[in-house]
Amino acid sequence: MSLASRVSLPGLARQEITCPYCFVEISPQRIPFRCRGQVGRRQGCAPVLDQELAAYTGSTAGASLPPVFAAPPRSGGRADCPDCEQPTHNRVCPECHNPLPTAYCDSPGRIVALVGAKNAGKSTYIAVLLHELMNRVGTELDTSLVACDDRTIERYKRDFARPLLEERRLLPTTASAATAPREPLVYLLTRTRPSKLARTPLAGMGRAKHDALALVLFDTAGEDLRSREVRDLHLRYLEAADAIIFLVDPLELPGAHNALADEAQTREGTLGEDPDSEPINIIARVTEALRLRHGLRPGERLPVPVAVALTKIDALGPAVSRQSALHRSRSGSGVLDLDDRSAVNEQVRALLHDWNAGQLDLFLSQQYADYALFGLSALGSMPEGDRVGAGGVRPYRAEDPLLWLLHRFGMLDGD
Amino acid sequence: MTTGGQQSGQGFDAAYQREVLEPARAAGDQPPEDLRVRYALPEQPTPEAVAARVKQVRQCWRRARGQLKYRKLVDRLEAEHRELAPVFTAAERGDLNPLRQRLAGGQARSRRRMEVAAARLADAGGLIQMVTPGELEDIARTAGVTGAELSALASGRIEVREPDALPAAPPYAAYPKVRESLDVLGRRNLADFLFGGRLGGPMRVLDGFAAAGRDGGPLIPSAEAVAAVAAEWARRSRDTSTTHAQTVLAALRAGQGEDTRAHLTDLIRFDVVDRLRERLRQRASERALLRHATEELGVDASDARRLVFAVLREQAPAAAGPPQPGPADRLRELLDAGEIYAAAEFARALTDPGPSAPSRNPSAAGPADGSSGAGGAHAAGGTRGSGRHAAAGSDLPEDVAVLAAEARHRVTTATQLREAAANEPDTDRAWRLLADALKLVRDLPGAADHQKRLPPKPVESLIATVHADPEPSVRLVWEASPSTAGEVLYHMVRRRDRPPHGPADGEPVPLTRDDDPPVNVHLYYVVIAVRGEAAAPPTVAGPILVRPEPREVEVAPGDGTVTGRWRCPPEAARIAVFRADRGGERAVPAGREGFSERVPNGTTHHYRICAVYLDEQGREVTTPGVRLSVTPSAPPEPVYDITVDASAGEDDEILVRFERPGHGNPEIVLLEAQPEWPRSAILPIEDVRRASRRIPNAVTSDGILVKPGRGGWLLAVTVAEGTAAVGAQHRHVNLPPPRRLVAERRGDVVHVGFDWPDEVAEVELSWRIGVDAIATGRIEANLVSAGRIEAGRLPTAAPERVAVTRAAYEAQGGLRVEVPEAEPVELAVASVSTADDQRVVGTPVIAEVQARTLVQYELERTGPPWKRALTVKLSAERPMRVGSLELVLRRGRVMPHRPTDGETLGSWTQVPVPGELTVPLPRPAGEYWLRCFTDDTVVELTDPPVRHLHSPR
Repeated sequence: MSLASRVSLPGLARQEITCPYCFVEISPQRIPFRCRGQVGRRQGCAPVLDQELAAYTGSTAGASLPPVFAAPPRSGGRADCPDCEQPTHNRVCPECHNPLPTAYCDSPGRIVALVGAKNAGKSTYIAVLLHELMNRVGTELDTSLVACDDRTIERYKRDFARPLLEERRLLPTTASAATAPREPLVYLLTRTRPSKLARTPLAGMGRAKHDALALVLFDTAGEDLRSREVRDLHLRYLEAADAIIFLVDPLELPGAHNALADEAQTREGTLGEDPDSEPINIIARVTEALRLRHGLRPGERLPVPVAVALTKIDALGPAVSRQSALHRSRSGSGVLDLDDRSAVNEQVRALLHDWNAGQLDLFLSQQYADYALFGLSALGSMPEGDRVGAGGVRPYRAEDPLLWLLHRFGMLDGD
Repeated sequence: MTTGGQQSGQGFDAAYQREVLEPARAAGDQPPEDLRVRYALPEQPTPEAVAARVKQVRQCWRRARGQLKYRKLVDRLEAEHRELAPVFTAAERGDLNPLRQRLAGGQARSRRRMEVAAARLADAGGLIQMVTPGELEDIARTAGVTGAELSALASGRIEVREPDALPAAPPYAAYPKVRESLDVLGRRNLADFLFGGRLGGPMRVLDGFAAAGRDGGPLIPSAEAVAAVAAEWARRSRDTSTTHAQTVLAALRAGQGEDTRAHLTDLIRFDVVDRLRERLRQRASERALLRHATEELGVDASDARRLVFAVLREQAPAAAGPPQPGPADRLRELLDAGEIYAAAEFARALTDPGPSAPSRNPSAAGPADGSSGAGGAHAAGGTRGSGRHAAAGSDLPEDVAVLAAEARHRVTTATQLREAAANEPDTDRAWRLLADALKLVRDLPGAADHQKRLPPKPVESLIATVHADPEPSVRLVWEASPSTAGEVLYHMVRRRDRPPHGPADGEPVPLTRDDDPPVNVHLYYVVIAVRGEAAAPPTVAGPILVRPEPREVEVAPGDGTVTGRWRCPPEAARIAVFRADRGGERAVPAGREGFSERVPNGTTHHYRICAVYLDEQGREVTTPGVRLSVTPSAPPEPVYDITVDASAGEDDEILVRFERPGHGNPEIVLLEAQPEWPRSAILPIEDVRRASRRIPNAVTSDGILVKPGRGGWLLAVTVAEGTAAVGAQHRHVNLPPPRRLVAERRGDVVHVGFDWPDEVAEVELSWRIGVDAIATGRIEANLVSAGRIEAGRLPTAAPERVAVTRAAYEAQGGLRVEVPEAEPVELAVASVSTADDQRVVGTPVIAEVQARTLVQYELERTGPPWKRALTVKLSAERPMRVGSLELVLRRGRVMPHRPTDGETLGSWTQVPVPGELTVPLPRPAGEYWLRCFTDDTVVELTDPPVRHLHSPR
């Protein structure tokens, strides 16, 4: 991994926008509008059934909305409805008619894909990461995280927050995309950055800067990654991803067995002898898909930033030496502590090699121009049965991969 | 009946009954159709007369209805009167037209009724125009006319008479052969055989034989006539006809020697009647019978009518009357009724003729019976003659004989059983023998009386005991009589002064207990077993005396006093109270309803309260008495002040401190609401128990350790001898401490987590950093628990505090406390609540995180290019020594993870810190890593930034 400076990402330079719902690429000039409709006493178009949206969601419920029309945007990203002549800012995907936030259209949208084997903790990680971004980490970074559609709000509350954070139940295994329709969780992450004069006597004269980033998290069922056919069929979003977080369960690494704490050994991996489920195989398949999309030649490395995170590091216990950075909280506030980042990166690399999983590190270095290794614990302690352990959800270094990606996207300074 | 004037009530009634009611009753309770007759109306009715007469007639009806014979008729009259009421109401108002119309209609209906009766009579008379009086009466009754009216109507047209009595059995036993022979000989009847061609006209067979000969002279059935015809046949050559003729002649001669003419007349009449009966059995009509009698048999037309009339009426069941029971029926009836002895007597009477012999068949006393008696040889006669027997004697019909034999046999057996019972000394056995006899012959004379006089065996034992609770009663225990035969009943009798002699000698009482026994008198109880009318000798218990103790005895302790109360039995002379004293008893002055005496506190006193009765001689008798113990004591003193320390016990235990009261045992109880009793109030302990909840109390040297388990009001009560003094109170907020406190050091941050109690929404996190602060805090806690100082008096021991809500905890993913790695920290988490606008902090849970002894190292490359060296600079917050130190080099891109991951460049022991260690700078080819390790169990090394450890190629 190169930490010397932030690299210029291919996505940042492109002109087209990827719909975070159907992953179609759209020219910014061709993004249609949706009439604002009747609101209170204000005139507007009546709702009609949006066939495209209903087809996407698989239900007509919630698909009766004001009509969609195509029009060149005027200044301010507005357009007037040809029927009711009311101005509107609402933009939608021309294919699936899902809403596209103005900030998403204006600023580069980033699709972050989560990949991991079954039981790697992807759903738990999404729940905890969003919770951290909405609370502790969000406060620290001066960021706000807002869901871009009602379905995201509902799904996060129903499938993630309520069972895990309120009821303290472990999340069930995510249904495969082959059997259950799935949508991404689309959030708009807005960061307020102080002016450069903030730390000078002229602090009052500068203006704070707002950076926005669309964060698209797609919770992949672990088994969807174990078959090329299913992956190719259902995981188009991987190809559209601007960054990937690979989650690796250390319990699934055979070499790590002896390093686990006693109670963790009883929860050792559930994937057994299935070679498809080994982390390196899953990463290899995703890598293959991405290489095909980017049309890379042999020897060229993928420019997509990749964060590989060892989950459940609370289960490692004494395997990690006392002087390891994994025993310390992330240092720095509002910035990315690059020394800490390097220390963790090297520590995890050392652990992988210690566990005879060095092939993973080598593969990543060969295939990706920009990757980093992490260790995190979403829950903070070993679960007890199907419930969260003592003290509830106490995440530890869960935000590290995202902070690194924000740093890579230019939204977070390094220190 | 006079209809013109007003008659006296009795006179009118008698006349009305005679002239109206009786004919109507005779006409089958048919009210007269003519209203003039029915209401005895005058010929020229006026409204007043009609109203008065109708009223009079109805009064007569009501009086007549008292007689059973008129009841049905009067009911009909009243029923029809209700329909006629409008007619008479109109007449009373002066409108007689409806009545006149009804009167005219009534006469017409009477005429029509008479015509109907006449038609029915003509039908009954038929071709022969004869009816029996019974038939006429029946027709009159059903047609609603009187018999006299119908008789008058029949007069001259229909003959009313009884049918002639025709012989049921042939006067000659072999008549069937005679009849057969007559048929073979071609004679139309017996008279034709006897007189042959001499018969000159129709013959009369009823009321004697009469027929005219060809010569005009009368033909007389006599021996001469028989001899004449016999001579005529004798002259003929013998052939088969001769034999038949002899058969007939034998019959004709059978009566010779007696009244030959009567015999021949009977024989001729029976021959005619038998032929008519034969035709009737062949369903011949009345007309055919009449023609057969006159034309074929040559009977006189008048006699022919009478014969046919009589033969037809023989077949009519109505004319026959109900069948009369015979001896067999009577016997069977008696046997079925269980009157075996009566049946045997009846059978004996049948076989033993005498003056007292019963009529064997009352219905057989008629002419037929007489004729049969005259014949004397037709025991097997037909119709209802099955019960008849030829003569008085042993020749009973078979069914009668069987029944009689059964009756006699059963009576014989039963008599033997009765005699055996009479000689049996065992009354139970005798009872059973008689029961068997009575089962065979229910009406066996003397058996039932004898059985009723057999007494059962007496009750074997009877125990009477006196019970005093709640009311005095005598309970009786006894064993039943050993007698098992028959139904044995028991009578319990009580008597004063002497045992009762029998069931009537005393007062009857219930069988098992006497709830109202007389008091202070000698009582005897007996139980008497009774079977039928015989009683066994009484079994006696007693004498016993019922002397109740005082009731509702209460002895209450006071402060140096004891008072007692009770209810004295009314029969008792007085109440005596004794108190145990130095191995004996001391009488305590007492009244009839209570006592009070002064006694020392703190001692248990034992009292005996007895009732005193006077016996027959006037001497005092004392009952055993009621024993009670009581300990008088000084009243409990309240606890005036309490302090509550929630941190002194375990988990949710709290220590309640107070100054021990002078009297009584202090106790802490929990109430749901604030107690309403004023402080220092003295209450019955039951009141406190009822209103409060008992909680575990553990008395310690400091106070009482309690475990409330819930919120409420803690109340100190002092208990002494059934009373409680209300003391201080404390509002207790139940704040269960957080559970499973986890504190993990992560660098210079301690990550705290715990499980929230369900009902707690806020906690207080407090921490002390540094050894000194922790120690000071503990000293202060000990002093506070010892009551030496109040909390917070040592400023240096004050911890950092922060209140954390549950929402904040979950949002932040636990609590994070910044603590220098080199310092220990003591963390305490306590539940917080608000009660009565005051913030209440619960018992904290405490965790301590030890300090880390950190030694930082830095790697520096020093020296001139020809003598490059690698210097390890060690530093720490305080001087120390590191037990061992290794500098390891690992080639490649992977940082060494442990000392064995690479080659050791240098190894040192007991390295002083701060200090420097130098080794020659290695110069491996390519990329490599350097890193220091220590196996010191106390010291932890802190790596420099990895860029200082890593040397790219």
